[in-house]
Amino acid sequence: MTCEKFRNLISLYLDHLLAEDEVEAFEKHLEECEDCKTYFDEINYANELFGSMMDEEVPEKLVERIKKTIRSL
Amino acid sequence: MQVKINWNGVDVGPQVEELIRRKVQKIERLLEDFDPDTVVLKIDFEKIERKKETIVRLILDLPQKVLRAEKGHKNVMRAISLSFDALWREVKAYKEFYRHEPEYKRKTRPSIKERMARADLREALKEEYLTIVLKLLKRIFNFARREIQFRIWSGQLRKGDVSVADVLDEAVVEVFNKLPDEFDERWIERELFRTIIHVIQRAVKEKRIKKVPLEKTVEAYEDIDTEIYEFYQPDNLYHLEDLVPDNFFPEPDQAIEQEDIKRYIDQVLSGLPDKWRHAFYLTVFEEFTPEEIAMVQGISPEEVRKYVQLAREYLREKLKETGLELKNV
Repeated sequence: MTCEKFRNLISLYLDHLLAEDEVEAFEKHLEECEDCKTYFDEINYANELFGSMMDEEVPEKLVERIKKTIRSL
Repeated sequence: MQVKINWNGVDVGPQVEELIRRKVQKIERLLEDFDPDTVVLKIDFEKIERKKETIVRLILDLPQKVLRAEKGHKNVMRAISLSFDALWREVKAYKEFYRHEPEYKRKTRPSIKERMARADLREALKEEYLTIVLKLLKRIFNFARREIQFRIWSGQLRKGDVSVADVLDEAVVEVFNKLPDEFDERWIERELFRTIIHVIQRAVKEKRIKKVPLEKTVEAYEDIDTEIYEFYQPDNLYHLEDLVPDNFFPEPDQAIEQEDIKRYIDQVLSGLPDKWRHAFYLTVFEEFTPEEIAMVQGISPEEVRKYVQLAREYLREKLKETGLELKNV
């Protein structure tokens, strides 16, 4: 696998969208290529960081408003 | 049937009113097949002094037809009877014609049983829909909240332009009104996310803040999505800097505290083109498949995968610029 192909597959790998044989080739390249490993770690880190945003609780007033809206339809 | 009477100064007593009531009833009996809310009868009186007679004009407004009758007589009671009889004949003739029309063309009034069954069904549907919406509420609330925030950061909206509650209210009504005969929770989920995006986009269009640089004249653009879309050519070489707006991002030393990091994340995400951000958000937070996101965004799954990849590469670059470490999160 070339480095370019590897980098194009990172996103699909993170989303579990690669086929089994592709995963195998991807992980093999990951072990062997230091530059691509660094690149992968950076993408993965960004993914985790931006995926770590905390959800807020829904205000009770809004829950009541939505109930009222739907029941009045 | 609704009845609207324009007396035009004609002096009438209880006898006339009683006659009209009976004549109206007679017409109503002929119109039992029609939904009473859709039928209007207008009665106009006109006194002709020269002839010393009263004209009674009747206009019957049916869903697909307007019938008219007009008669005059020196005796107002007689004028009413003549005009109503004429209208009755008109209605009768129309019903004959109507009876020969194909069934599918008729807008007949549903029976009480049918109407009750429909009402019961609607109530049950509403409760089922409500249950699903409440289950999804936290997710759609946070999605709408962030979407509005992103638009504020990117300058497309101002604080207070649109509220999360209004967006959700509008979205739940819109989705309910297009519920298909058969649906499942996943369908509602997708439609709600899609509709929230549309509702916010509408708000942006309504309240767009146009920033025009002083040094040169620029053409107004429809929206940033379209601009990116037109430019975006997957087969060509491209640079992230060319595609995304150059927003303000905090320097590394500004993004140390937790709150700063949250703010930083919001700001960076707001710098992504909408389609990239939606694709990324729905993948990472909502774990939608590319096919589902494609349905939400109205694009192909391949484009979704590409947008997610571009978004990740962009976020990686921004992180490298700030030098943020994972331990700070």
